Amino acid sequence: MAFSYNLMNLKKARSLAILLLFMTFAISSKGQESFNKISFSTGLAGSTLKDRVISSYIYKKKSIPVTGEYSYKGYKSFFGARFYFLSSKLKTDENKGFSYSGDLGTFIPDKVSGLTQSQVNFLMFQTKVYALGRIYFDDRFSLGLGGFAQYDIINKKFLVLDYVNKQKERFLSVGPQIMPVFISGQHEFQYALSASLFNIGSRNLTPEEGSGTKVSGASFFKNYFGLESRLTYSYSFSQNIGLDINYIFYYYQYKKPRKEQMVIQNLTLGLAIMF
Amino acid sequence: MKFIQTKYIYTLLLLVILFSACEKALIEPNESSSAEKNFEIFWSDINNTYPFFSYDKVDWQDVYNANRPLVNASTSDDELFEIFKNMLRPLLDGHISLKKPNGVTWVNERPPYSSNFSFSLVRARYLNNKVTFVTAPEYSDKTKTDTIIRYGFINNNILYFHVGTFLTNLPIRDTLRNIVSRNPQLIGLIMDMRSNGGGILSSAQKLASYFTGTTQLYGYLKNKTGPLDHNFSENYGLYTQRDGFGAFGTKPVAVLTNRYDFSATEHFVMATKDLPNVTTIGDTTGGAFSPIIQRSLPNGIQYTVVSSITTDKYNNVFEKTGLAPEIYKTLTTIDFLAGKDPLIDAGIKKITE
Repeated sequence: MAFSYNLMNLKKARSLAILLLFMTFAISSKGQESFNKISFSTGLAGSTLKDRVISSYIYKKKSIPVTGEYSYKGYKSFFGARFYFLSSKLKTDENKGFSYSGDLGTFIPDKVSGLTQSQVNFLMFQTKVYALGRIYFDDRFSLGLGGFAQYDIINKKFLVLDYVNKQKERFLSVGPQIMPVFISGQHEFQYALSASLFNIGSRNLTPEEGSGTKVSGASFFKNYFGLESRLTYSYSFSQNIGLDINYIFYYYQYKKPRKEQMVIQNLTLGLAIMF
Repeated sequence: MKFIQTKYIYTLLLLVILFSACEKALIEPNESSSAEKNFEIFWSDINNTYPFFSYDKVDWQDVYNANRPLVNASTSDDELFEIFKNMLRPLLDGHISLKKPNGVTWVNERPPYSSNFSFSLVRARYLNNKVTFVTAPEYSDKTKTDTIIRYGFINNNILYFHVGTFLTNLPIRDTLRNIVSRNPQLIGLIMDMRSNGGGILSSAQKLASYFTGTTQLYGYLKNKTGPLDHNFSENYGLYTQRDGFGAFGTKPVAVLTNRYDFSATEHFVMATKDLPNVTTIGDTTGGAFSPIIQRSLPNGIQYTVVSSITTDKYNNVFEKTGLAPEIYKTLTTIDFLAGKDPLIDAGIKKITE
């Protein structure tokens, strides 16, 4: 390197970085490639929620998730960062026929502020980083072992009587991750299984009026547990462009102040850029 | 190598199928029979909206655990009705009731209190059978009429005024004011509220303002606003509703109460009982202050449970316990046979002393 950092301008540095990365890819493309990848995916997510703070009913809805990921596959390691966004109006039919009315009249209307007694407005934004060491079984099959850290922002909105309740949940969790990867020519199968064991979480319930309730704390497995099973099939059209098909099974539960469980199953299709 | 590849792909597909099936294992599905659904809705609604669990010292989850095993797909609506009764019994809310689609109604059992009230006795022995009835269309059925007020005079200088219900559009306050203003000889008033089951709160607050003279705070109400135990609104003040057209003044008033006074009637008593010229006489009121909210289940069973807490202006809760009178009096069979109403007698004594 004849250049020193203080002499390089930004443009030159960027060009050099792209050149070096391309060379890295070109060098390793015959075996277990080392490369960077950025992907964006969307598709269909089926969400199932049973949150006893809200009720004992099961709420469901299919909606459209958006996910983006940066990942690096090196010769000895994997690491990456991902975001996931889902907004959904979950519904139940378990209380169909129930109303706050009777022969004395109507006490509470069926719909208040766009919400019904059968509805939970749900929003999730998840960011995750992971880092794994790589063990080879042969030139195509390797196993990543490591860990991850994840931060979940979950907002819910629902009715109690005619009052809108907002529940904000914040979970920071870490745990182990295992990721076998199989690469054959233009095809790549990647499976990732991760489990959240240590967690710092909080749930903050704020009714439209009056005092709310907040529970928070750190726990090892006790209050919070999360599990993600993710299968990705990638196909490379060229050295730089590919597509990803993802199936993601995501489960979490939190026990305070009342038990909450959620499953989100996603099937997404995305575009990937490798460099 | 091809074997490894195929094996690997199959393993991955197997994992996908496995996790797809995991959902039901992780989140236990709810039972889907009608009886079970109705039970869950009933329990869940009360769990989130009933405000008195801490006062009742009732663990609603324990109530669930004890009663849920009794419900299954073959449970009939009549059996479910009985289970609901058992679940509601420990709750103190005076507005609790259940109603079948065929009209059969259950209200939370209370001891067999005496009403301490016989209007025929009052009419014959105190009003010389000279009684004026004020009627109005029934609140819920305008084709029928309802007797709202019965009044007369004791010794020509004490007005006896019985309010039978607040479930009316009749302006009770104006009616009373007109009678009082036409009779300047009055030295006092007996407001007989016995066996008044309540009705429209504002009607009671307007009548109370005739005695308070001004718009006065007499209590607070806070609503359940969220699903957890401490999710309540701020306290809303409960006020008498003055109209500025004149008040009763400082002449003595005896307010007669019994165990069958509920809701709006209790608000009237709460709003007036501390006035220096007012004396409450009789028995404790029924103890059902908070506004009623009726619910209907999918199977047609209706139930009423309150979702707010009413207190007096010192934040005391009188739900179920009721408001105790200043002078405790009962009407016994012996009194009745002797042609005496000790409550009226005590009222006359208080007014004339």
